[in-house]
Amino acid sequence: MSQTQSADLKRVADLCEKYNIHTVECIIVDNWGVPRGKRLPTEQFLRNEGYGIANVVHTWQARCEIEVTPVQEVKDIHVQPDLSSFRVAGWGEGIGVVLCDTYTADTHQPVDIDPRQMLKKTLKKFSDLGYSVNAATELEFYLFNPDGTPLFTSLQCYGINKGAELEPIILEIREALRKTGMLVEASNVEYGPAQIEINLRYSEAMKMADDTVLYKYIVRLVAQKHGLVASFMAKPILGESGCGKSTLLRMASGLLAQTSGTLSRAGTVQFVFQDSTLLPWRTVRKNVALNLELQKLDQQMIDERVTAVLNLVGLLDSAEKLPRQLSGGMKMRTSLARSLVCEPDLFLFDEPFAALDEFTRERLNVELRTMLATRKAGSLFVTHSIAEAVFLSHRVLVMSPRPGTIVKEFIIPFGRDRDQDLRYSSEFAHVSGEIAQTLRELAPL
Amino acid sequence: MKRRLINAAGPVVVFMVFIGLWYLVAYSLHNNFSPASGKPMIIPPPHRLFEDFNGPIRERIFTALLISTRTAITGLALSAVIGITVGIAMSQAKWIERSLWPHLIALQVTPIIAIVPLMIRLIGANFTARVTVTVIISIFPIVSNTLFGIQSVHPALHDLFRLQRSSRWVVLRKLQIPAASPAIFTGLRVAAGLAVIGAIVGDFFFTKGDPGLGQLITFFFLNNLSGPMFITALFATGLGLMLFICFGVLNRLVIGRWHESVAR
Repeated sequence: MSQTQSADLKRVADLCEKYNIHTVECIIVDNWGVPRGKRLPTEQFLRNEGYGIANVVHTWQARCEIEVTPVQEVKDIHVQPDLSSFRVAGWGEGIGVVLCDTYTADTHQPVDIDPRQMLKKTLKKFSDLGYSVNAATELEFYLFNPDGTPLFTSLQCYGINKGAELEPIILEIREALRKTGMLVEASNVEYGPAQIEINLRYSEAMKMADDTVLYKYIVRLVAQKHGLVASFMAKPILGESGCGKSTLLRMASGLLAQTSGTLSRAGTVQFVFQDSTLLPWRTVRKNVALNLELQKLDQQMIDERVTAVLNLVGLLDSAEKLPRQLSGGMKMRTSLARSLVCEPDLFLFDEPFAALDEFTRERLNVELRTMLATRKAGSLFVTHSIAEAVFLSHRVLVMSPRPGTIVKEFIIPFGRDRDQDLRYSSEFAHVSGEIAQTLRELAPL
Repeated sequence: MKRRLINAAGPVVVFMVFIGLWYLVAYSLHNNFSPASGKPMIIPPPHRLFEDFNGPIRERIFTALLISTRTAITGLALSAVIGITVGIAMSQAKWIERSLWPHLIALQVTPIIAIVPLMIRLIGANFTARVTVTVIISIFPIVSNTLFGIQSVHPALHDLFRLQRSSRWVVLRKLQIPAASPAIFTGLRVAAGLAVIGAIVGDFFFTKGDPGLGQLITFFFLNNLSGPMFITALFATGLGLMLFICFGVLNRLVIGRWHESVAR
């Protein structure tokens, strides 16, 4: 054990004694930023042996739960607490929390896709160049009722009295953040319905990364305590022609550089174009495999993933067909499959169903919702169809043209599971009507 | 049914009209038949075309056909390699395209006869010169079709590859060349016909080495063998058709079923 390590261990042991810590939550971060891990009794934790986990690498790679992925190569992982990150947890008595690093159990190498290890590697490069890196976050979240409706709907950006009704909850979150060693700079009501922002003061990058994980953990925990659901979700966009929707999407995908302002984007992106953009000389199967092929994945792996996705979109029987032998709907399904198979963090849809007939479009809407529901990916969906926007999304942003700006936001009060019947409900008509009204006001005859 | 009948009958009717005109010209032409032997002097009527197509003449024609085929195919192969390479290079950078276009057009519009003297001095009046003429005549459609094919690739398909941060080489191999292949094949088919023209035209100017069909036509012309002269011309046409059909078949094999023009 190195000198710093034993000094850290001494500090941690003192803290545990002082605050009567009985349990330490040893957290690892998956590549969704979702905290996972085990709770260790303090005596065991202080032995500083860490703990072992199985198959998490696989879970991370597939970005889905273990039971839906065939487990192939199970590799054990050793989880080692990073003692320098130990804090007393602000969300419960007698609890400590520590962020951990992951190593392969057999060779004891850092797990290369562990985000914390990745950040460490990057920060090392900076420190080798003589720089230290600081970061700050402006995290925003929504507070929903369990049925998916927002706590309040009117737009009250920076509204002091509107925020007041949420103040006890926000205060509780702030307290928990403070006790967990974070410095809150400010909190305010944000632009969206029941959208809250709490800013943290900048700090050293590694700590800020850890803070971000714990921040989301704490917000969700406190919301849950009050019977609410906190969400850090993405948004769909609705607007008339020429208002910059496609430009926005192209910037989000990195195809186009922004001329001013900043753009933050994390993780991998898949773009679903308005045309199916299939390569006419490739079969359905080979079209779906294209992106994986370009990522130079192993052929057997490609075959397995492509087959699974073709099965999901119902194209397994047409796998060997060429694009010219497909209907418009089938072409679009192939295009969707090509994006799904990459398992990106973010889907960008540029009016993918605009060229299809109404029936095919509605059917694909239902299918798309089902496909996305099982994935932890965010989606940004551009459309001209109000019904499509309402049916597919949780948030609808209306854009106005020249200059392209977001003029209004709607929170869609429907839950995760939606079927065709929803389109004919009075609530659906009501929400659609409100959006239509906004669009009419924007573009008077 | 009716349409199919018209489709099948059309070419036959036109061919018969052509033969009819041929007879008309052959028999109405003044002095077409020798008063002494009755042999056709200028245009043999179709049924008398093969009168002189005997042993030695047949052999000469076949030998010449073989030589011209070799010239045309060598020239066409060179054209294809150089033309596709240049077309690809031009598609990869605007400055290359801009630098080469004017010169390609200049080459295309220069009458071959204007550079024949230069080529005789530079290369000699031999096989190489004949191949060079074939290349000059047939390269333009290959370059322009390759370039056009690559430039016509749908921008969204490019975006697809850009999103995967594909290298220029990968984009070329997996997107641009396959997408441009129908256009490239159209260029090659046009070039195939031109290559035969190049090989025969070359014969008229370059008489050393083994001359092919072009030289033979001159020979028959000078010896008043109008029948064999016609047959030689027909063989030249046949050679052009054969190369054209070869590329049609190759096109079908390479592009397969995916492209509308082939699949239909």
